[in-house]
Order: sequence, then structure tokens, then C-alpha cells
Amino acid sequence: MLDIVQQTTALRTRLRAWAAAPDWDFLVRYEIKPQRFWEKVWWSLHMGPGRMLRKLGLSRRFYEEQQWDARLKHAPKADDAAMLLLWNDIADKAEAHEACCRAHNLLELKEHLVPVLVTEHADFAFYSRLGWLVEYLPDLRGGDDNAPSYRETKKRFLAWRYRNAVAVPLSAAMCDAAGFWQVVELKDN
Amino acid sequence: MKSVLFFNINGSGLGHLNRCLSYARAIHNEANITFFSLASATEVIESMGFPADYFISPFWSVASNQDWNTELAYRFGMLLNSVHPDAVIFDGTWPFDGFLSACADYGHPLKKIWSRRGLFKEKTTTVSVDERLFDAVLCPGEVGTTYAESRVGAHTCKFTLPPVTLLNDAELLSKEEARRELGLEENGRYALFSLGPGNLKDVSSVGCRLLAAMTARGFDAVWAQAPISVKDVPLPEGVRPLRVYPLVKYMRAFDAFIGAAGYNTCCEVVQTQVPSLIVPNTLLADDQARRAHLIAHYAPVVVNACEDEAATQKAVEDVLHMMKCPPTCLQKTLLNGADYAAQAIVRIAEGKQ
Repeated sequence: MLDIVQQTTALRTRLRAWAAAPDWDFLVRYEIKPQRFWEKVWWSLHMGPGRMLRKLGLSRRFYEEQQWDARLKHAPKADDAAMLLLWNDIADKAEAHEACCRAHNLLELKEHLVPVLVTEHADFAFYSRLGWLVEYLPDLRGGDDNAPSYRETKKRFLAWRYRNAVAVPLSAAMCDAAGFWQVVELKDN
Repeated sequence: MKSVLFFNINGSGLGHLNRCLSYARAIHNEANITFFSLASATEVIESMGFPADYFISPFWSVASNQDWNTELAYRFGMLLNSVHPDAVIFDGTWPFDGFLSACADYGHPLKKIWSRRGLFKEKTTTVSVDERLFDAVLCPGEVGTTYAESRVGAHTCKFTLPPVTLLNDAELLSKEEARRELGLEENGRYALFSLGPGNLKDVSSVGCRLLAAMTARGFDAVWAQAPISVKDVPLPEGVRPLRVYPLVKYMRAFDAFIGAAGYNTCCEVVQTQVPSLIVPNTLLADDQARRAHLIAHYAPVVVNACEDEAATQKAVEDVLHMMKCPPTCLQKTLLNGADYAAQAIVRIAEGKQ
């Protein structure tokens, strides 16, 4: 069985691999565009040339520079706080709940860390009270059996979206405080 | 079988989610249903048998409007690609740019339906959104509203609905059944408090005054905790917390109900006919005071904002008096808006406009 440091390294390696290969076609297709007539005209004039480059795959910077602030209004954090991705690796819902409680205690006074929980467990009445942004990975059955599952697609998207976050397995919270902070501060190779 | 995707926003309570669940339950035999929820209550949706994804609400997120909508377009687009819906029902005050953009980029035929509740305060700034961006608009009405159809422009159907409730009358527990399930004494005297999740307005001060006033008159107080609360209101000793969904199923367990005047709560008071003190939340765009006074024609209701101690004491005395002498001339109303909505949704999804 892997120890928590090895698990953290394995998780980060997996997330880096996913983040390195985002679905560019998807990002281009669903890039936000205005829907009202005059806004469409303005947008076409100002954004049209750049959009063409992106559609041709000649420019990715637009997507790489998009901002996503994971802080919540009811859980104030420092402006320059770093994202901490707590990736759930605990199959049992009650154990995952316990790990979240422990992580919450460890992170409660850390103004410089913004926790983001990625989880397959629906426990939202509890999550609402944690003050964390939660990314849910539901088990949705799509119509096409040959297509990648929604959960897998979303995992890969989240790996790209949170590519600059520090990622740790949620089970790290089951360690003592020193062990938890050791994996949070673990340097990548 | 058609595929229908519900998109509910996160309001001050669970109203948008409740309404979508009402529609979904009414069409579940005729469509495959999926939810995209901005309300942090996904287990509630799943407990009713519907798969759901969740995305952080703009009311909770610090992200700028542009960044949040950019992200929404990706998240909703991902779900559209997976679920391949024939129709999407948006329940919210105004449709987000990210939602409209993702629908436009989906690239397959997709009927868009907007569930748009009214009754905003007269001075509220109305958001100008062209209803013609949608194939249909559902307007869940207040008590007393009857079904009607009209058109907006050449292509958009507008359906005015009677009030929409989550459960039908047969699904509500009797007083005895509900008390048994909640572990309450058969002969106890109970008051249920449901003053909202407390996310938009601190309900604890008015709540404390009301708790004290009711317990002083011999009621055991039960405080409903909303699933989407970001913090629990600290309860005085002896007050029982209650976390059940849907609350309406158990409402008849109580001798009196004290709640805010949200759309669903008011419909449920009319449905259950539990003697109630309705405390309108005046901080919302929703005209809760008007709604509260409206339902007083249909249910045993006292309306009082309980802004100070004197008003609170008077409100509680009025409720006790009403319990002894129930109003005799209450009007009847239909609460079957979800059935009409189901027919409209199926019709639009099948392209029969």
C-alpha cells in the first residue's frame, strides 16, 4: 500500500498529465459568446480575428489566461491566497466526511489557502457549512456507451482548470497535522 | 423517450430547485431527466431519483461576472455534450449569458424553456431579458391563478400556471403519521419554525424573539434547518433542530407554523392548512409581504414582520386566537401547476408548439 507521500505524488502526476492535454476543441466550441444582436455585432468586430486563430488552433493563450477564483463570499480569504485541491480518494462516504472535518479544522485559520474539494460523494448539506468550493463528480449515464463517461471528462477538465493549484489526496487529512502539512508542502519533481 | 435537462439557480431558499423537482416528478414517466443545479443540495435531487451535477452559484462565488459566466458555459456545455437533451428548462430570475451561450453552441436541436416566477416588488429594477430567446415560458402563479396560454412574438409560447407544489395531497403525512416519523409525542404541542437558510438575512434575532414567545405559551419549538445554510443558527436550549426534505411532507405534525413568505412556503401553507404566522422577508426583491397577505384569503394565516418585541407578542397572540377560532370563509384554490407544466414541457420537447 502506498504511503501518503507516494499517493500525493501519484495524484499530482496524474493531474499534470490530464492538464497537459485539455480538449481544445471543447474549449473553443464553448467559449462564451454574446447572444443579443448588438452585442454579437460588437463581439464579431472586436473578437473575430482572435477567434479565428483559436478555431484554427493557432492560439491557446486566450484560454490559458482565463481566471477562475475559487474563493467564496461567505468564507473570506486573502486576495493572493493559493488554491488547495483536496481530491477525494476515500470510497466510504462517512470516512470522507470525517476527513473533510479534519481538513476543515486544519485549514480554518489559513487565510492563504483556498480549499477546493473534488468529490464523488453528494454530502452537500455538510459541504455548505465548510466554506469550500466543491466540484462534484456525479455518475451520469450518457446516451453514447462508447464516449468517455461524464465523470472522466469532468475530472480531466478540472485537472486543467486547477492546474496551478496544490493538489493533495483528501485522505492526507487523516494523518496528523504534521503529516498533512508535509504533503501540502511537498515539492514536485 | 425525450431527454430533459433542468437548470435551477440558487436563491435565498430552495424555491427554484423545488419547482424544477415538481416539474421533473410530473414528467418522469415521459422523459429522461437530469439536473444542473446551482443550489448546494444535490443529494436532495438524487434522493428523488434524478441524476444531477452541481456548479457554484454566482451568489456564493467571488469570481467576476464575466469569469463565472465563462466557466458556466464550459460546465454546462460539458453536460449538454453528455446528456444530449431535447429540452432544457431554466428556472431563475434571469438567464445567464453562460447558459445562453452554451445552449447556442450545443449544435443540436434544443428547445429552451424558461420557468419565470413573478411577484417582484413594484420598485424592483426589472431585468430586461427577451423572452423570445426561449421556445416557451412557464409562469408559476400565486394562489388563485388559473391556467392560461398566450404567445410572445411568433414563436414563444407562454403558459401561466396555477401554483406549483412539490408533493400532491396524497403524499403528505397525517398529523399522527408525521409525529410518529419525527419522533414527536402524540399529544405534544409543537410549533415548527422555518425562517429560511439565513444566507441572505440574519434570521436569528427575529427567530429568537419568536422562539421565546411561543415556548412561553407552552409550545415545544422545532427549528427547520435548510440544506443550503452556510451556517447553523445557534438554537436556545430545548429547541429541536429538524433537517428533513421535503419539509411539507411533515408539516401537519405541527400545531402551528412560523415561516417566511417564500413562494414554496406559502403554497405549502395553503396546501397543508396548518395555522401559520408568516413573517415576510423584506430584504428580497420578491414581494413577500404581498404574497403573505394574498394567502391569508386561502389559509389560516397571520401576517406580521415581527420587527420588534411588541409586534412579535401581538403576532403570537393573533396566532393563538386564530387556532381557537379558525377563519370560516377561506377560499379554495387549485395547486396543480406542475401537471400543466409537465404537459407543456413534453409538448415543447416534442416540437409541438
